Amino acid sequence: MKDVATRVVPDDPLGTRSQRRRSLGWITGLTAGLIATVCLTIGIGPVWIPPDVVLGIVGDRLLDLPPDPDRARSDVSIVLNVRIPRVLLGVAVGAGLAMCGAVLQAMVRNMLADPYILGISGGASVGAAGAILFGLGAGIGLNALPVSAFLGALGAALLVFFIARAGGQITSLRLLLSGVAVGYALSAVTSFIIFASDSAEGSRSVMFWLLGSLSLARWDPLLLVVLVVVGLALLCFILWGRRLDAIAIGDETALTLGVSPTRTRVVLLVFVSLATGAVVAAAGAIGFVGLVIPHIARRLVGSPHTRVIPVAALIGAVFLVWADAAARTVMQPRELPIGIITAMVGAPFLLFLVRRMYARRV
Amino acid sequence: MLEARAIHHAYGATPVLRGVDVHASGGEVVGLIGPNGSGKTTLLRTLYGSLTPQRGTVTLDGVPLARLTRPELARRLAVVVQESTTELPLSVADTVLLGRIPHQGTFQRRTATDLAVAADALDRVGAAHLAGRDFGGLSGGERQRVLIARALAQQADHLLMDEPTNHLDIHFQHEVLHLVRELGVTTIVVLHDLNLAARYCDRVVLLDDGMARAHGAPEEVLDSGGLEEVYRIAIQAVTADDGRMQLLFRHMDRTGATDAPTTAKGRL
Repeated sequence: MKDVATRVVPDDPLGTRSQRRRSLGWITGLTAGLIATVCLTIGIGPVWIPPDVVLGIVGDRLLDLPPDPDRARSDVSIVLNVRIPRVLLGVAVGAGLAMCGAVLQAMVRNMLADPYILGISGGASVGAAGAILFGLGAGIGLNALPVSAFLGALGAALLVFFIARAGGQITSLRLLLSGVAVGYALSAVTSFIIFASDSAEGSRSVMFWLLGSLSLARWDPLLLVVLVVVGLALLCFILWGRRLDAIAIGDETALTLGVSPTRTRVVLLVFVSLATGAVVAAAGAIGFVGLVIPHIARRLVGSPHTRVIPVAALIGAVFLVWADAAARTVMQPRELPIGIITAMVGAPFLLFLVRRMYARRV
Repeated sequence: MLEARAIHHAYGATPVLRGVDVHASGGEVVGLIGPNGSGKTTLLRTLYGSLTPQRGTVTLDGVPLARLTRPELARRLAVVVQESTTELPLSVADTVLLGRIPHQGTFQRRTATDLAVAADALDRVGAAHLAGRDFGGLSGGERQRVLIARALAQQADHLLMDEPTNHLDIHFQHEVLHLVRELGVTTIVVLHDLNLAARYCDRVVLLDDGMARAHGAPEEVLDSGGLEEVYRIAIQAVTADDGRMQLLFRHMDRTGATDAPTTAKGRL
């Protein structure tokens, strides 16, 4: 916390002005970083396309200019139809997981919480395994997998919500315990579905999906849904950031500050469930982003959530887009599940943070 | 005026409050005293609407609490409760600014007034120099002052405090209550230390087994025989050199016999 400590000066007695300058600096820097990341990573993959070519292709398309005859048509198609939707999905998934993690850590007052503690990944896996192995929702064609994963995720979140709500109030401990219990139960169901299935290839697909991948990204309604839901959740979390600060301290304190803990939890849980459900449906259960990124954001701008949420979203987006660029290049021609990369980078980083951040406090 | 009338409440089959009345107005400091389990904290929770009593009414300037929205209530009644610990490192400035939440709408940004009120609150409790520090790294006395500053930032005209002197050394116990007196805000404070109640409260309410056993000026309530019965301890009131009442205590067993003094100095 020393790093975000503010200097007390007469015309800024609370040090809020310097805090705000610091946060704005990070948000501006990270936004620039995200734009650079997007421009660079669109070019990265089995076929390398230089950033100037990428910008040219995008510019031509945006200005509706005729295609440059010197450009390979395959490059244009790769950039417009494969890489851009994939990078956009990466931005939404990274931002969504990071900010949902920050919200849940505050809401259950536990720094080890991540977006999956609501049993969402467990529910989504059951849906996905059902779709892959038993053709669940086959009638809706290509979208069967994400749709059944999304429904599974929302079903799990609802179940956790109703179990935690017994007695009219949702306390942080009850939410945490019911999330963990439902998550374990649903993982068992997924394992059972895989075990009961005869298809080795199908089981492999489920495993690949469970570790996460952005390879299914394309211009379809699912991408739009993920972008819109994550955008709305971001807005909600920033607007309710101060209430989140209050319930992060304690329900009784929140109440005395005019904040209803149960109502705040319900509203935030709805957005967390929708955002995480959409993200998991589109990209699988990518771990560690929602756990680690919020800690980095807090280290940069302190704990108030009006600052933590946008910073976490930006870091999450940058990190995930680079992790995906690595996923599609390090083991060419095979694609590595992105969850392996996020865990490999995230776990040591979390250990480093725990040592640095909390050594003085615990 | 904050007033609770005929408050009854039970946890399951166990009655905790059995028809308690308490009120505070006009900038007075009212102490709630009583042994462990006598219902002090439960009564306090009904006073700030965290707990709805099964019977009885709590009103703020004549309006039942149930008719006020949470933010409305928080603008008129501030509370310093025993804070649960949080792992989130929050600065002192951010902690005090939380007191402005009841004054801010969802779409409202923090205004210059919010900052000025919070800075002034921190200044009034003599903690302006702590603004940039991590709240979790403060000493007990500093924390309590910051929490009072947060309550002041709410700009409420009523203040409730649950054992604000807990875990504080003797200097800070007096420092905190001295500060509360100086604020001039109508206050109801739960206290364990009867001498602090005697020194800093205008009136005290003695709770026992969910009922108000005595109610009045500290000298009347604390110097009565009822106190010995309620606390099951031998009590002697003496006069300190500033003319204020001071209580001395000695263990009393179930038969009413007290410990024999070991030295002449220790005699009550």
